[in-house]
Amino acid sequence: MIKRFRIIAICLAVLFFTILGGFHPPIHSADSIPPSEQAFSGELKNGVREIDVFAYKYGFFPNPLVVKYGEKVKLHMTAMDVPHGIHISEFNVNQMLPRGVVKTIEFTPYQKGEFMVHCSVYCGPNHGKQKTRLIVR
Amino acid sequence: MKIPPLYKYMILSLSVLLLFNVYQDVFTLRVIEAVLMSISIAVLLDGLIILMKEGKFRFSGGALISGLIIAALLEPDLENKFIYFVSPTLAILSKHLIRAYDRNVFNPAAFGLLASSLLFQGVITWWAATPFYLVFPLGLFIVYKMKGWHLVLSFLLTAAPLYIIYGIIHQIDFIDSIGLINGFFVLFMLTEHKSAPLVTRAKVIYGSFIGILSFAVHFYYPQIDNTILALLIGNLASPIISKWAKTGQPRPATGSVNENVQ
Repeated sequence: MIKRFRIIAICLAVLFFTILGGFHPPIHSADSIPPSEQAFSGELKNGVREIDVFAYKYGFFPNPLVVKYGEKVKLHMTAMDVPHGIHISEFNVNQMLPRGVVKTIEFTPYQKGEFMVHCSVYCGPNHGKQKTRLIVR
Repeated sequence: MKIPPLYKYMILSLSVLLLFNVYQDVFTLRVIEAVLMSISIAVLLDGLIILMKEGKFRFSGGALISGLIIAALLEPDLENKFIYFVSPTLAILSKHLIRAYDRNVFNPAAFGLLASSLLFQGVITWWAATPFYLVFPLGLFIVYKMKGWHLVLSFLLTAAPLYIIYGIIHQIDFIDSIGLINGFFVLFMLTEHKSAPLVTRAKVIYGSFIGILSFAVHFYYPQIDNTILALLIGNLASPIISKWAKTGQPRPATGSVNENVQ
């Protein structure tokens, strides 16, 4: 009897927390502009697109990152609060970002499309939600 | 299929976390597809291997838990769908092929995740290892049922001071420094005792060892997920730690004492 009561209590607690969590507003991407109309991020300097990127709990700014196909990209990355990381698997980018230190990452996108940008260093309970998109067009 | 109660609690807890996160912010067909692929491949492959070994197909709760953990940790929105096949496959193969003292050497889910991230660019984002108000009550309940307090406390008592000192040096808020400790890992993965030592003293050394190692990897080799790598190295060191703690060889997994989860 007590065992059955415990199981019911646990199920109710789980249900309670699930419902409680469900009332939080869903997180949506900030941009609703189609990728083809997005302005390029950062500035073009001597043929290199230089972008200041900020990583914070739990996001990246700017969001999304828009770059041109075949144009060399330099990301000047800063972690604002805790150590973060940046991982873009398609372009072999995987770099740790210590807090407050500017790290420069260079790559040339030779693939068009939209690619996920993740935080690669565990930075807190919502680490998995820290992502943005890299749009190459 | 008879599933031990401990497996049931774990399956229920992981399912709640997955359902919550799928519902919360990424409710897309791609995500559901990735989650279902990881889970079904782990369960089916394990069933097939059992069929070859025992001549009878059966579903294993351990394989289901491995599949659920992989689904919860592996980024579900990757273009390369092959990763959702290869990660559970490597996990289950490691469970059946890499064995010592009648136990699997590695935590299967951790092995599958790390191997697939190194070999096939899988991305471990811990996307369903949140929110904390679900992870903590469910995780604490699992630790209580698993009797995993020695592992959890020894890990925290070594890792937490290191993260706090790191935070002071780098001017990080106290709460943010503590937040760098992965709660889901500590409560759900560290306590898996098929690949961990079985005796108290060895458990304490093992938990502390993984705590120090996960901190070191976090900041000095960040290209690889720190906790997963630390856990796998800990798994490898587990027999040595058991011997070092003068507890003898790890006991084979038999009976209800070792209601092992994975």
